Amino acid sequence: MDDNLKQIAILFTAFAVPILLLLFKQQRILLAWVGVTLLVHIFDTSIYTNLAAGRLVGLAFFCQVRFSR
Amino acid sequence: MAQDYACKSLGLFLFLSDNSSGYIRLYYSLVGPNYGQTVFDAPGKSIVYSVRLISDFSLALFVADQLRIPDSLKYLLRAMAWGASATAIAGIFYLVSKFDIYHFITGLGEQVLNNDRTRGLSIEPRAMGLGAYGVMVLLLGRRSISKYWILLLFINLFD
Repeated sequence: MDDNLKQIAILFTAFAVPILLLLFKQQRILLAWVGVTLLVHIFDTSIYTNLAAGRLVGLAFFCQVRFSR
Repeated sequence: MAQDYACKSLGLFLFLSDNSSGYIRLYYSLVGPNYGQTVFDAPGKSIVYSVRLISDFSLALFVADQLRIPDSLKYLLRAMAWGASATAIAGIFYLVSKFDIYHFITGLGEQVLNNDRTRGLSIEPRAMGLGAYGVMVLLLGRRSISKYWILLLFINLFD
């Protein structure tokens, strides 16, 4: 697979996982995702953004809190 | 320089970040092409640093909110221990087979492939030092983290 396609797939996963877990109110699994991605850096995005997977969780949580009030 | 001085003397700093040029600023300019105008700009990497700061702060709030729930800390520590062990296993696998799993999955970091240092599931070999967190968690939690804690500890220490 092309490296750019791999990075796009990783970016999609890194965004989709926290958003879906927050939507389905699976905060405990999201906490585990934070713990794992702290030490496994596969899902750190490097295309379009340069944000670690944990930071994307923070952004998703920020948006959820901001728009759910 | 003069514009920076004007900014510092007359400006209202809306947001400070972790880089000297990374702030969003609103100021009344006394020099340069914007003379006599109120300027709102974001020099350097202000947007990047601001987004990072907001996401870090939000992540800290999320984790703190979750840790109020009983047993959540154990859940987080278990995830950290398994994450550290996965990285350590990938590192040991590279030592044995010279097959870089991180590069295979992400396509990144070819430059570190030929220096004979393992990097596990991290972008560079230095990040393998994070395995120390796994060791710490396993020593603190022991059987409450996993019934295989001795095996995981050995893997993390070997790494």
